[in-house]
Amino acid sequence: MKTMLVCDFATMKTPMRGTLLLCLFLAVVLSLVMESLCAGLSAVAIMLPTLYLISVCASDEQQGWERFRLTLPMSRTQVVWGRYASTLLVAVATVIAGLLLAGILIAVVALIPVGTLAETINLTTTPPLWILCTLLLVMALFLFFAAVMLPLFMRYGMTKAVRFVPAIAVLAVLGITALMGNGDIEFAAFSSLIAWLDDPQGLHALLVTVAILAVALCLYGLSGVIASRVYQHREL
Amino acid sequence: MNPLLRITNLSKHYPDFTLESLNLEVEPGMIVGLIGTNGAGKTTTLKAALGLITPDSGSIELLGQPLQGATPTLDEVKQSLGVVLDSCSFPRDWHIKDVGTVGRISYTQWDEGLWQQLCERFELLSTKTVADLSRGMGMKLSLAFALAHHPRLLILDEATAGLDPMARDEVLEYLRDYMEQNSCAILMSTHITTDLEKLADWVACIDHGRLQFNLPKEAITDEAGVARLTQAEWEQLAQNPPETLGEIRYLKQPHWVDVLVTDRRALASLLPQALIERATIEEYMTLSLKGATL
Repeated sequence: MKTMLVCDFATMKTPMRGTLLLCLFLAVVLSLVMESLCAGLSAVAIMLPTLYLISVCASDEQQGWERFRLTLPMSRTQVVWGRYASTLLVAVATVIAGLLLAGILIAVVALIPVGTLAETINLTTTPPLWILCTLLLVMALFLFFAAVMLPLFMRYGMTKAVRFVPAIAVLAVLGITALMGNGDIEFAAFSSLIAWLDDPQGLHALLVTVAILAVALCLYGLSGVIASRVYQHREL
Repeated sequence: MNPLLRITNLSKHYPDFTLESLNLEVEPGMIVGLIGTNGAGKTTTLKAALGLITPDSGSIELLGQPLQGATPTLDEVKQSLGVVLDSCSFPRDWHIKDVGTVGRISYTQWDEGLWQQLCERFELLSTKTVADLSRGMGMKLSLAFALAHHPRLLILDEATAGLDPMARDEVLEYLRDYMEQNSCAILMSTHITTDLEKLADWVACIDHGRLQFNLPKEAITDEAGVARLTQAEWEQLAQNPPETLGEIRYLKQPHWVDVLVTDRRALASLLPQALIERATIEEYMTLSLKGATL
């Protein structure tokens, strides 16, 4: 698995440099323009690992790398789990980077003498726990996406697998619509949920975030088991 | 001595192609050339030997270990395997030093000194990326990577395709030296049959998924012969072909007949006036595949 991790990071280190700079720029601009740290950070926190995942999977198909990689002394299982591990590491690194960036932004904004930015971007209006919860929820969202897409990428390759995306999107919309029902009861439920989440210490929000992240991680692991199985039979 | 690769009755069916009951062996110290037309089944054979595809039937033994899907044994076997595919397969953004890093962590027998030596010999600068390399340099990189862990078996799929004659000679020379210094074996698929004339000990030809011939190189380039016969000479031969000549294959041209015999000396004694030359691997293959049998 170590070989696979090194391979993935070697493949992505150059392309991700540009992506990282773009994401940094977008995070700053979105946070300042929208006067909301959480909005800016969450947009970028979903973008960065998604771009990583898509790019690294796309690189498998270039120049027969995926085929050649299987001639190295690592098993197909290691290839799959290595990919899952590298993707998860990028997602975790994004959360850490997001926290660091939030801290830097708050500090920088506090130094700006004029304007209203310091009134909206500060630790009172955006407590650290909110930032953490936001980033973790975005990570969970990404893990749900990766859990669905990675087995397809491993089984069919990037080019073929992207053909499934519209079908998955339609199914997701149908599923959400079915869950929403006619909206009356659910809106009431949402209102009480939001009220419950809005406790002064933010512990309820943290609890829900951790629960959602745990579910996402479980699904991600399950997805890895499925991907590992389907990749055994892939003919390259 | 056990062969490093033994393929027995290998079959693989695709909708538009079938590899049928292929048998092939690569003994230690031997260079086996795999030739055939495009789509003949060479790459399918190599893929099966590398465990990249699952055969429908038959068995493969790689370095003495049966190849049955993904097993820990296969990973151990791959430690002693060097592979060069038909293009430089490393991701384009990798630096040459990344290739070395992956080799170092992948192979227990990785020889950093040999790697550096090969990079120097092939003029591969560690700061260059794979994207910077020409096709020839890319193939040299692949070869350096394949050799730097002292493999017991090298599998080369069109490894010299696209190289200029100088680069090809350099690679072949290196492979020859390497074979002399190490007791390994090479299975190389190629369309450049002159490479095999310089390097191979054994030549196997596949056509339409079937093994057409599998012979020592000497049987082709020393013993066999190609005669360009006049119509009269051809008629004399065709009317009463002696059994001592073995199988005779021929291809009629507008003004002469090309004839392939397995024993050129026997034909020369039969038709002393005829122009009979040693067969090249290309002529042998062409007449074997396109020629008719007398």
